[in-house]
Amino acid sequence: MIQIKVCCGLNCAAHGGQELLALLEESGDLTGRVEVAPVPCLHCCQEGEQSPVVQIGDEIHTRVSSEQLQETLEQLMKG
Amino acid sequence: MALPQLDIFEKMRGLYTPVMSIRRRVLVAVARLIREGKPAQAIEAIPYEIITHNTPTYRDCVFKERAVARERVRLALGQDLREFGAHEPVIDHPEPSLTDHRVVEKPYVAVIKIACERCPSKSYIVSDQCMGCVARPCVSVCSKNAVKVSGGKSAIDQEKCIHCGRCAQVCPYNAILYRERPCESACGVNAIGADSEGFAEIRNDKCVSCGLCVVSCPFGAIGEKSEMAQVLHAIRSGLPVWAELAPSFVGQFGPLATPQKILAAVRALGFAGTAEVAYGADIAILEEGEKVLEVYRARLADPTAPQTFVGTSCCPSWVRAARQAFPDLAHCIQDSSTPMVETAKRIKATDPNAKVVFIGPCVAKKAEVSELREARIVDFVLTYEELGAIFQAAGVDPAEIPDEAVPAEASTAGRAYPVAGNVAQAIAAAARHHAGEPLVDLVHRTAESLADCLGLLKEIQQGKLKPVPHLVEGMGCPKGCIGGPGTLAPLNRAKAAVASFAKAAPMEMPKASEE
Ligand code: SF4
Ligand code: FES
Repeated sequence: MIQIKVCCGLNCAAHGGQELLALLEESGDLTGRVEVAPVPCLHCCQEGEQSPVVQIGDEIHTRVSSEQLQETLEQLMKG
Repeated sequence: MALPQLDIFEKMRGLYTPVMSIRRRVLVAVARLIREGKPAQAIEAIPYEIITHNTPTYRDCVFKERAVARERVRLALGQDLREFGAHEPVIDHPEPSLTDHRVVEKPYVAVIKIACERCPSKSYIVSDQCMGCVARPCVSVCSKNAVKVSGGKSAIDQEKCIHCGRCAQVCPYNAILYRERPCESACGVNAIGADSEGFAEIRNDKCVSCGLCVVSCPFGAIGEKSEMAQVLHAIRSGLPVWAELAPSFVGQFGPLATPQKILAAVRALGFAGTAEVAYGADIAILEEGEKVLEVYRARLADPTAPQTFVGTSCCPSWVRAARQAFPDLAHCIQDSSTPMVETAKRIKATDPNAKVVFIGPCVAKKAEVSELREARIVDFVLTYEELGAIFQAAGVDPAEIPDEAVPAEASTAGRAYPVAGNVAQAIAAAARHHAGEPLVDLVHRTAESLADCLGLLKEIQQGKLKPVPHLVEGMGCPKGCIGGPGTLAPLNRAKAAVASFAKAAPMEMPKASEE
């Protein structure tokens, strides 16, 4: 099971994080394969990284767009 | 594996785009400047903080990018935009904006002309997908002879075209496209046209300040004035500034920021207190429920009399649009106090010196406040986007603030107000409760978006809608207030959050004071 943490700190929430979370939660065919967890600020924003931030497994992705998320997921599910 | 598309009502709204990013960064920069008490000259530096790169990224040149940011700074301070083409510093007289009382004046929504790309207005065009087929159904279907074949492909004569769209419907290759200015198509009251040079222009006599064009322009060429600077000044000067939060505030700052946390975070910004506008919604439900019952009984008593109805009062853009377009139905639209005003009255009753800030999803409230009969009941209006900018400037994250117990101030019905359909449901339920009988033939209708609202009124006026509803709920924004231009959360999340907070209310329906 892949764990995806979507940052829901203020910075990320105001910079599109909520849309990403909604996108993941509304995607029925991810159930059982991906675990989606909203998490508080991952502190990437304080290190100058661009929001929104999503952590897939151990990897941190910054300035994530819906298209990128979709692409990354597709790759993950294949591989 | 395919992820579904989000259920978004406008292409631009449900996605996070660079337009939003720039708008929000400007707001944060202005909020920070005022919170930190920096000198007014620092305002000049903001466009350079926003556009740090020196090569064009969003537009054709970096100077233009900064010029647009500059105009946004003016709006964030509540100032008028500069006349297009006139030479002026960012802010020649910042002083009037740096004060603790309301200074923002009409127009609340304005076109940043330098950012406007003069998009093509309503037209059907033939794209390069045209195969130049032999059948040429587009030519035969056009009753105006506007489609000709030239160079083997169809072409539309724009002078003759009446935009009926039949050619587009019959093309087997979907080669005919309809183009429309996004600002124009977002506007439900036809207030957007073009000036002599083709730049978008808002007709202020028609505009109801709904703000939907602001969030629909893909070039970020329309903006709304903010009162953030004055609110922050009022807080800094130690005035008792209260925040009343519209019922749609829940869920706006992410799933971890519970309503209790959001209210606590607002107080952490220096607000003297917070109140739920759902309290005022409860009062409106009771008042309008009684009116609906009156209308219902009057119709029973005299079925031949002209049929009136009760139009809800809570959405200012619907109220203005309806009164403007249908003056002969204006008496049906309620002018009882709105939830915002009722809640403000209660705050001022406890603290007469309080300055009240309405924080909500709505740009039109900025206009409503300036037209209130009782002046200074509500002092300022902010959107969630502006509140988010203040949170960010202050380093306050509602998701991380400790929970504070908040006294429940409203019923389930009042808290559910921001979702289209719930307003009419609640008022009808209040009417039934008041009558003490089920009123089975009580009819109510909900219209979302100004275009639908006006369409419904037209049907009523022309006698096409039978029976005339006893109650009409008008919502200027699609899906209700949760779809307002000042919101941050996607619609589905906001809807779910509102529903669960409403469920947690201590009572289902508001109670009249004598009960
Ligand atoms: S959508 Fe309207 S305001 Fe925006 S660039 Fe096009 S014409 Fe200008
Ligand atoms: S809010 Fe997401 S990293 Fe800080």
